[in-house]
Amino acid sequence: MPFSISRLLLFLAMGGLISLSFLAIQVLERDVQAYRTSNEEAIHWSAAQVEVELTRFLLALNRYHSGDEEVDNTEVNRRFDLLWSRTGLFRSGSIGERLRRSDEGLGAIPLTIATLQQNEEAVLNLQRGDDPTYNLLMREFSDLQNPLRRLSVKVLDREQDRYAQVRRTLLDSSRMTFWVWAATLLIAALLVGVMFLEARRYTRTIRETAKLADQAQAANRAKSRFLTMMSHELRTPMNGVMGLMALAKQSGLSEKQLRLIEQAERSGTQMVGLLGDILDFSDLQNEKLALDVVPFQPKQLADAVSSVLSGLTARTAVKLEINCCRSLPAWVEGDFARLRQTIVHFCAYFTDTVGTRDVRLIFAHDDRDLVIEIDLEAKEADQPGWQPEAIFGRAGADYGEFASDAVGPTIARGFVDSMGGSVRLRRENVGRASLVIRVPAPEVLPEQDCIRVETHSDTTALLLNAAIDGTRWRVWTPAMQFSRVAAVLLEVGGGQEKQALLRLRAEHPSALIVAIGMTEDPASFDACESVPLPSVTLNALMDKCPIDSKAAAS
Amino acid sequence: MAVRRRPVLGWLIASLVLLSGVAVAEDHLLVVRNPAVGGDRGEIRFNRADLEAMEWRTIETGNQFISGKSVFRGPLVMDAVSLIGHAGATKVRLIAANEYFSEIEIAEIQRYGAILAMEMNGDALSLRDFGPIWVMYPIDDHSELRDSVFNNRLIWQLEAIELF
Repeated sequence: MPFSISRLLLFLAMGGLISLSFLAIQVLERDVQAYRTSNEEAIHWSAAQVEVELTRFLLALNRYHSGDEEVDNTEVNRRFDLLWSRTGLFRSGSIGERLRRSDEGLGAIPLTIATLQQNEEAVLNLQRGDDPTYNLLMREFSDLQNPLRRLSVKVLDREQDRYAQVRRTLLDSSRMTFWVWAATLLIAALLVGVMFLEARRYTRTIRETAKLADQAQAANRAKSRFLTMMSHELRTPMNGVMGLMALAKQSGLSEKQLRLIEQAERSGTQMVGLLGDILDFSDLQNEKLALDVVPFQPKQLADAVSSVLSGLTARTAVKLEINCCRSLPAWVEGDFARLRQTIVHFCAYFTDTVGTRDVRLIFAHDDRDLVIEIDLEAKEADQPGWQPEAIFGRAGADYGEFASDAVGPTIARGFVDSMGGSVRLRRENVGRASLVIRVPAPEVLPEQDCIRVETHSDTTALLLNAAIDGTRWRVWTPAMQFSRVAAVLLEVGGGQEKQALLRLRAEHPSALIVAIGMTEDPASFDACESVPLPSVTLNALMDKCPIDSKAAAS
Repeated sequence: MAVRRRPVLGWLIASLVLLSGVAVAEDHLLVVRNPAVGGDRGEIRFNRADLEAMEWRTIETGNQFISGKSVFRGPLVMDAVSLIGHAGATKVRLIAANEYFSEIEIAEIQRYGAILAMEMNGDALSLRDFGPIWVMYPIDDHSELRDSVFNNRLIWQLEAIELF
């Protein structure tokens, strides 16, 4: 794969995006951790609670001992219990764990718990005026103030550090997010640039390819035009040469001279045939072959093929047998000339090039297709020598690759392909092979000969149609493509009589033209009649018809 | 949570308290007040027996004050609040023994079914141990309750509820 700047940029962009993705995931993880940290309960209030409750307990103790009636022993014990409950914060949970970590090195809480446990009974049983117990309690619990204060301050500092860390993390994340976005935008711009470069490159490539394709097509067209032109140009002098040789044959030459002329004639015919093949090949290659689909008689096709091949078989002592099956209809529709050429090409190839000495042609029909089987002697697949599969093993004609001596079969296959048919090779008997040519050729039923009516009056048309209905003829309509017009009944006296007559003579040269009505020029017509025209009269008139309609109807 | 039954006995007790106008002051654990409700009807005091006579719910959850999960049992906060009547109040002030308080929307307490937890893992809560009443939310059942703002609403040593 050739090196390309755009490919390198693409790889770099993809690498950059993947790296940025990992970076973005890391930033996200840090943000999640920061969020979790910020979501943790603030413990400085919990830590300060112990100090606050200690102060309240000491105050209650003092008021009780001072004789304040609002504070009794129950209230003192209540404050004692509240102080005790605050140490429970340090015992369990995530809050307790963080508080214990803060108390490491200070020991304020174990000291507080120990003091509470030691003095629990004294507090429970404290009486007003019990100075010693009061003083002891005041001293013991007052000594807790400093350690608890230090604990509160330490917890506060740690919490502030924690939030500062969260703030730093969030600030770093913001910065990193900004750079990640900037890098992403840069990579996106890079990718857009790469896409632009690639698009330009592809457009250039497409344009160049289109130009090359145009040049190739132009070269092909020029070649085809040259071939066609040269073939036409060569045909003219060749026809001249053939004509001169025909004349020379008539000029009283010796036998030897005659043989030489005939040999030259054969070479000339072959040359003309080759020129025709060149034209056909060119048309097939350019898909410009025009078919001439007309009704024809399959037996005539067989006769035409026999006639063309008779000279060849006489010369090469080839045994040629042609059979027409009973299934052959009288008339079918197809390209008569191309079919004849196809069969002749194949047979000529087998006899001239391959050297076959025994060829059988079988013409058949199966409702839709004309089936022509060329049966010939052929070596078995494991024997040395020419194998038909070499030429006919492919699915269709290959104009780009074929043997130099197989031009004829290639053209023939092209004709069959153009007609929508197929060529298949079959080996059913030892030492023989069959080439089965199948071409669409639907049966055509020729219609009965007709009588055409040309009037300028509907009444006259009705009367004449009624007369025709009483005969064995049919009234002609434009849809009857294969029918022959045996007679035309032309109503005269309309001013366009002469023009109509000329036109009808041109369209139906062999038909009877009958004037219906009074004409000024009866000699121009084959007969003159008037309406009403009895069917009997019309029958008698038609007996004079030049077309053998009875033979056509049978 | 268990299916709730009508707290018939609780209503009966509350009615007797209101009608008598005498507060069982010595052993009361909880006071519910609504200044908008005038006279003696504006305050109800509950002792342990009163609260134990109400329908209790169970919440199994963890929080930042305990390790792992624990099973808390006690009546619904709303069951205690409903006895006094809202009279237009939309919030409650939950007041602890050390005068700490938290103000919460009544709708929030209703939505999450907060309870007045009096037992933790089968043991009665005491003053020294987050009790005798600890307001508990079903934190593990709702991810939004894991925010620290709800931690501050887990009032322990609850003494009074004021509606406003």
